[in-house]
Amino acid sequence: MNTKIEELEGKLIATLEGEMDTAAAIEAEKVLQPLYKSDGREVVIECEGLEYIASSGLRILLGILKGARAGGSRVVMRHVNDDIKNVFSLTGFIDLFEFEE
Amino acid sequence: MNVLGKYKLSLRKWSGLLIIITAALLLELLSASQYYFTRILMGKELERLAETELTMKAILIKSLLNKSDTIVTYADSINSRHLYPSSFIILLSEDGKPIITPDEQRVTKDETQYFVGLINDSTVARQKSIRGHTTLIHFDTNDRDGTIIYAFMKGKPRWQIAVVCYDDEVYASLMQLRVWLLLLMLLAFGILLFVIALFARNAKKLTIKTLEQERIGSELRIATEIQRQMLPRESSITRGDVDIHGLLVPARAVGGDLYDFLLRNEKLFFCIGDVSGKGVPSAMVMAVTHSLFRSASAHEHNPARMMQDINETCCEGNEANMFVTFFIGVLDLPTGKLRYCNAGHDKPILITDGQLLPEDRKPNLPLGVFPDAKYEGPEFMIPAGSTLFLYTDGVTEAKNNQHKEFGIDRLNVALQAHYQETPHTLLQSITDEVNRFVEGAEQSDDLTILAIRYTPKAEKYLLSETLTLKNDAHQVDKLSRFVKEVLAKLNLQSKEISEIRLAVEEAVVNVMEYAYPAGTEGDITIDAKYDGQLIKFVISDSGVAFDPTEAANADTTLSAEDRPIGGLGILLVRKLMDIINYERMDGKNVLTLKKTIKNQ
Repeated sequence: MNTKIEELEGKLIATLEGEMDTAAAIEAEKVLQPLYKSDGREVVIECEGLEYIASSGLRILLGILKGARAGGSRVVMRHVNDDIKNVFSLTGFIDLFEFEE
Repeated sequence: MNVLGKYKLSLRKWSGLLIIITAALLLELLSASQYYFTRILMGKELERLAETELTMKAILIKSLLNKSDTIVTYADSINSRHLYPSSFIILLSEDGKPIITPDEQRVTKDETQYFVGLINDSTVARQKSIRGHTTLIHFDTNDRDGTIIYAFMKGKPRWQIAVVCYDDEVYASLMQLRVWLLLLMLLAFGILLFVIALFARNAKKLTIKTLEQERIGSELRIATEIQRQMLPRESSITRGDVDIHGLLVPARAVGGDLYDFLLRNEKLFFCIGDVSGKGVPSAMVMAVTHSLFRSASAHEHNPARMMQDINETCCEGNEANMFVTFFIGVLDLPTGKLRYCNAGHDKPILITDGQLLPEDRKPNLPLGVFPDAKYEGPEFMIPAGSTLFLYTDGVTEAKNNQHKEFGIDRLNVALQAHYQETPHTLLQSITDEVNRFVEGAEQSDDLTILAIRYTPKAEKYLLSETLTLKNDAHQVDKLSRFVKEVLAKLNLQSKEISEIRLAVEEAVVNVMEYAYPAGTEGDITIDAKYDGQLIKFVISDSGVAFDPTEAANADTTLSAEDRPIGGLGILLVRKLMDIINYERMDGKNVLTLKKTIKNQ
């Protein structure tokens, strides 16, 4: 999978592409590390190209969310497809995150 | 039975009461009529007496008249003979002139004159008397009522003789009788009232008792129904690989026997038990034991550990010192491995190829004896086609009218004869044998039987592929490729593919994390099998015993701050697959995931 982060207009934008299985999540976490400390900046996770996510990926997202909440900001999930939304809803994560199309 | 007995008793009371009422009524009737009735009878008697007296006296008087100077003396003689204390006689000539009158000291001249007038005025009486009848003339003076008995003498001279008597004296004895009768009647009436009061009190007691018995009866009916509902909803589970059937015949409305079975994942949980004692107290303990079994079987599949948990709770506050003999079995259906724990219960009988194999292990202590009692249980493989037969002592201790017990030998003989039958028929055959033996003798104890027939079918797969991985998360991409390749052959929708893939990945990652402690290496084998309906992934490893199915589900309702990082993987496996089953076999952890494939 491909993972990148950039900062735009004061927001941290992460783009996740491909299949985030357990192995990919280990690599992705290294890239996403800075998002754990968003320091009050809003975090946007762009998921348009994300095809698959396992629980290890969800754990990373939960870590990012906890960091953002601690800094008083928020995390927005963008363009999440239905299969992945299904996983979010099975785990109750659907109520924790904000979603945008 | 008791209620009927009470009614019979009251019927006897009723008949006694009826006799008394009838007697009292008769007495009352007699008492009411006696005055008039006896008056007539006594009147006749009086007439007869008077007539005799008159006749006798007439003869005397006639003979005396020949010596007329002595008449007065005889008048005194006549008047000295009186029927009643103040009665007296007046003798009149044919034309009504007084010949002999009573002594003036007893009856005044005026009084005598009054009665003479009365007789002479009574023309009807006179006419009757002339014709030879004795007649009665009733009179009432100011203070006393009375009767004049009056007749013409027979023969010459045709004098008239009258006896004047007073009613109070004539009827004195009758009045006395009447008083006695009245007293008797009052007594009878008193007895009647007493009996009625007694009856009413008893009736009230009986009513209260009957109501109470009805209430207890209806509560018992409800209790019976509750108990019945505690038993498995269906008295049997019949599927390809296993057939289980249970039967409980309570001796009373509610009983202390229980059995239960349920399927969780690919395991058949079953139990049979017998609470000491009978009736409601046993039933209450039975209910507690039953729910403890149910809750233990929801999260645990080791019978010894289940027994330990149940025993600890059973011992808490067991003031009544009730105990339960209990048997828990857990049969892993894919493998045929039976684990069980026997807490003092009758040993079950395993029938394989017609051979009866009673369990020969020493049973553990019954439940409820010591809270720290240790419970152990063996495990062994049940051969295909075997039947496991469990029972309570209501079977072996069923007694006939000669107080002989059915016994284990007769049970063995019966099992030899019927073991090839399906559990349902087998239970029927065994109860028939027991019923034949007891010949209608009253059932003294609950009778419970449970029969399990294990018939695993040889599996045929359309697809069977294997992958072996190291316990390294980086190898997950190999797993992903493998799962995708397998699923691609099943013509599934993308959502199903990604769900099954996710479940298998989560299960394997879980094994990688927990079965092999950090730093140790090991293999994980994934077998994928498909039989046309069911896709099955069997994940096995040689790591430390680890049962992911025992892990609690993550709480999906917590807020982001409170959500723990772990527990998501196993939650996803549970939600995405139909069956998740763990078994420790030959030193390996074997985790099986199954899902039925739709839209074929």
